[in-house]
Amino acid sequence: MNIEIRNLHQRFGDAVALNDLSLSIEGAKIIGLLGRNGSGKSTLLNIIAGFRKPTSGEVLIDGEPVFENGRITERLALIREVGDTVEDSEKVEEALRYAAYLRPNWNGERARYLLDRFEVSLKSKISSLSRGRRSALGIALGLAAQADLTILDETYLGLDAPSRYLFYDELLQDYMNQPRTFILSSHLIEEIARFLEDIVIIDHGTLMFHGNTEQFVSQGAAVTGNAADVDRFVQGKKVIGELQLGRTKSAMVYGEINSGFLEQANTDGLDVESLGVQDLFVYLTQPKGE
Amino acid sequence: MQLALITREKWRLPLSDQALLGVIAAACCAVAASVVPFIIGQFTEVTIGAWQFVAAATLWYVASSGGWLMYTLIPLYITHGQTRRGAFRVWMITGGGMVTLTAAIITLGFLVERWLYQAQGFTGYAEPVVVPDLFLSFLLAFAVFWVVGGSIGGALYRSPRFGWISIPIGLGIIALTGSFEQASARFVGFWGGTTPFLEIETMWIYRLLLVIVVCSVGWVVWMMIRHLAVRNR
Repeated sequence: MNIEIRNLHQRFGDAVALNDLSLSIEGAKIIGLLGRNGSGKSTLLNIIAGFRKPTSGEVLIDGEPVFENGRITERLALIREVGDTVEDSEKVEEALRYAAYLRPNWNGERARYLLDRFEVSLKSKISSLSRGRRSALGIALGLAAQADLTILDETYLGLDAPSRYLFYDELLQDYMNQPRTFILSSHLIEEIARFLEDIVIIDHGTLMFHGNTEQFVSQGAAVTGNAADVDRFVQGKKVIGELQLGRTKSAMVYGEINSGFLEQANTDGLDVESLGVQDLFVYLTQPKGE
Repeated sequence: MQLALITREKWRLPLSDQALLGVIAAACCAVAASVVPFIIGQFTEVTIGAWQFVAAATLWYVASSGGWLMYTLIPLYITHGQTRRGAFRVWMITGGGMVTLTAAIITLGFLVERWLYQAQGFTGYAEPVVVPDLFLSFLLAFAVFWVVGGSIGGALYRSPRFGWISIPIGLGIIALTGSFEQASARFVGFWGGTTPFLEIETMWIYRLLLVIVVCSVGWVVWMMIRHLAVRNR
């Protein structure tokens, strides 16, 4: 599945949620969409799934516009937070029934298996489910839809740690059995980073980074040592964060971390450690002055 | 896909359930509408029918169903990868089925009521029923209530803050079309020609007007939902 996002712009009154955002995603892969609160992640996902019409710009999937295009939208599944595809007054089994009716590739057996793993009773009223169980229902609805593009927007936030790990296992199993595109939006970055092939970071409605996860991580490093030596070393480099304790200082550097960089640091007696996805994301997106 | 609408297994407001509910409700009401006048008739002359109250309640039921279905159908459809166009089509088909079904049941009820009244010798409320006129009048009135209900449901979904403004507007449309007369149980006044501004001789114009109202409000509903964003709960 190819997703082409062109010059997307979304306003809510005076607020700009997305500002001329363009992005291209190709092939079956697991993609992480990262961004701070209010960065425009959910708005972007809503537009990709046809839940919302953008103020301007367009989303093309396999060359066709998404909005009100049934051929395309039935190949997409967006599950937001705890899952809002059902009414609170209805039962879990009814949610599965509607999905079976409306989803062309619905796998009811898979849905019941997932609900069983997450210990969600089919007979439960949705309003009576805890947040974690509602998350599990959202996950079951999302994965069992077997859509070519499955988007999970903070769906698993309500789950406890063991349930989240169960979800990651099931997600990977789904991906291996039927390779397709998944977009995960989450604040639990370190947990999902290990299986993300691509990362998309948006900040204040604009694209900050899009690329391979390894490529992203390879661009960030923490240089630690004597404060004066560190300051001298990072001159002319892009420093995205600093920490100092006494005369020891760490500078987070973003850019090309090549062998010359590492050799120079070694010569200067400085330690270089790679930054994790989450640290790099935090330093890149923190407001100036923090 | 639309055929599945009539089955209980597949749909939220299945026509089979509506039919069953309609028949059961009609049977209960028919019993009540014949027993109560019979008892009253032992003491005094019966001058009004009881079925008209059932008809009035049914009109509001149809309006509520149209509104509720619109309110819940749009998010259900879109979040399951379907289009607003598809949801609107399903809403119209369900409305068409429900309006026809209820109009038929109500017409049948009036026929049975007249027969019962005549059988019991009541003369105060036993004028003959013209079935095609009665059915058509109710068909159009139910259609008005359905689309008005749908417009209110759509408006409330679109804007929880301002959607309520559609309620007085909707009631105004119902009142202007004369359908309010029916809903307030003054049924005879409606089909007897005492609509707010038309006489029986111009009934065809009135019916044409109702068709235009149904189409116009239906169009407004479509305009309201065609670019609707799915709200996050």
